[in-house]
Amino acid sequence: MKVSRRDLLKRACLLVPAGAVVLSRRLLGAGDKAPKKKYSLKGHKYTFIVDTRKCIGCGACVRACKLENEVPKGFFRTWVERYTIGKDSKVTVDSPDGALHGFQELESVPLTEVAKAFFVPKLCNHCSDPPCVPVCPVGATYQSPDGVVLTDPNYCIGCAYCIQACPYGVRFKNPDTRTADKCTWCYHRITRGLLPACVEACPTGARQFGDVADPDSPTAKVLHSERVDVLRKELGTDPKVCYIGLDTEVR
Amino acid sequence: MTERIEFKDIRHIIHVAVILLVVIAGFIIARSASVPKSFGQYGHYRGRSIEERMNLPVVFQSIQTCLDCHEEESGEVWVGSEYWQEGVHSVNACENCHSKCKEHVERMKANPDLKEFVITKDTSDKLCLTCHGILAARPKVPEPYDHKKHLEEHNMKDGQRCIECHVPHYPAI
Repeated sequence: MKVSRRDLLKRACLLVPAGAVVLSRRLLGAGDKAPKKKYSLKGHKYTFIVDTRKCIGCGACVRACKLENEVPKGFFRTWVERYTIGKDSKVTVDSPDGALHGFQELESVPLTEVAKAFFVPKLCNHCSDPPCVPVCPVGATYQSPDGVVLTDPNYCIGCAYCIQACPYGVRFKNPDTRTADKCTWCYHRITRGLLPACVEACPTGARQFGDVADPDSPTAKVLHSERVDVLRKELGTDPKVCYIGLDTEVR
Repeated sequence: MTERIEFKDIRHIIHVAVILLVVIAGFIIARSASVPKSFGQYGHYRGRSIEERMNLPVVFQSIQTCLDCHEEESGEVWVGSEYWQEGVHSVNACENCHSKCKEHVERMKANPDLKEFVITKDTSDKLCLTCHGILAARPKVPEPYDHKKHLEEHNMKDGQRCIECHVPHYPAI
């Protein structure tokens, strides 16, 4: 077939815009599909607030955490402690099965002998200066750019140095994976814009979580209006879990 | 008189240098083979680990997930109804009393006509009392109840269950 110079130029002129359309669609992604907003690791300041005055010791948080993170039996990423201070100033701390099934009345201290008693939920403090991170010999525990302390089960050798280094005792060796395990603030949930499972489950609002990089977030407002404290401040770990209504007995 | 260094002496130095180079090259090859690619992307750890942690599945469902489908359902005190919204249990996560919902949500979203897939619920007094029972350490909000005393006050027979009088979606009834 003989193609005249005129026809060839005509066809070429048609091909160029067609090719441009195909290419641009490929480069920009599917035209009508809304682009998925990617999570940015920068610009976050996550804070967890525990209002001990609101905790009723039901253990819903512990059950939700177990469900969400498949925490093995007998181990806890979060748990609830009960502090009972007797009239003789004797302090009794208990956490039966991590409060997985809630609490029963304490038998060792009769009700008439109790001066004060309260619940304290515990979880990883996600320290700004975490003592567990530098001790890891392989770099399997780290602080992510958004400030969450995480473990890498695929890289952990299970030496348990980090478990010994944590002053809050929040780490444990997972018997199934034989690697260090701990609360991640449900990293897979918060990076999707959801709340940690324990916060979602808490029926009284004793657990609150949010990004205080936004000064208008409810968490920032609580943080700036309530009197908060952190656990074991003297260690200089700078925890990001803040407590409302702490007592001197709580460690 | 100084000694002249001959070529045969330099050969020893070359031997050592070659061995050293082989060792260094071997180390570099072994290191690049054993250290993961993303190590050091953000710091002294595997950068890909962050992504792996992010991609874990969400199990515990939010109240909103349940409302997405159940808001339109009939029943005066159904989840999403005005009664439920007013009631104190509207802040209580569904799965605190109902069983794990993840599979239910996934299966029903894939096939909305599925009828037989029902989640269970715990209606035992024991579950009610994990939140509402009397404990010395428990704050007074929500009001704790001594179950036995509460039954006596309302002239109920012993052993009457909580759900025989109260509707969990609107417990004031």
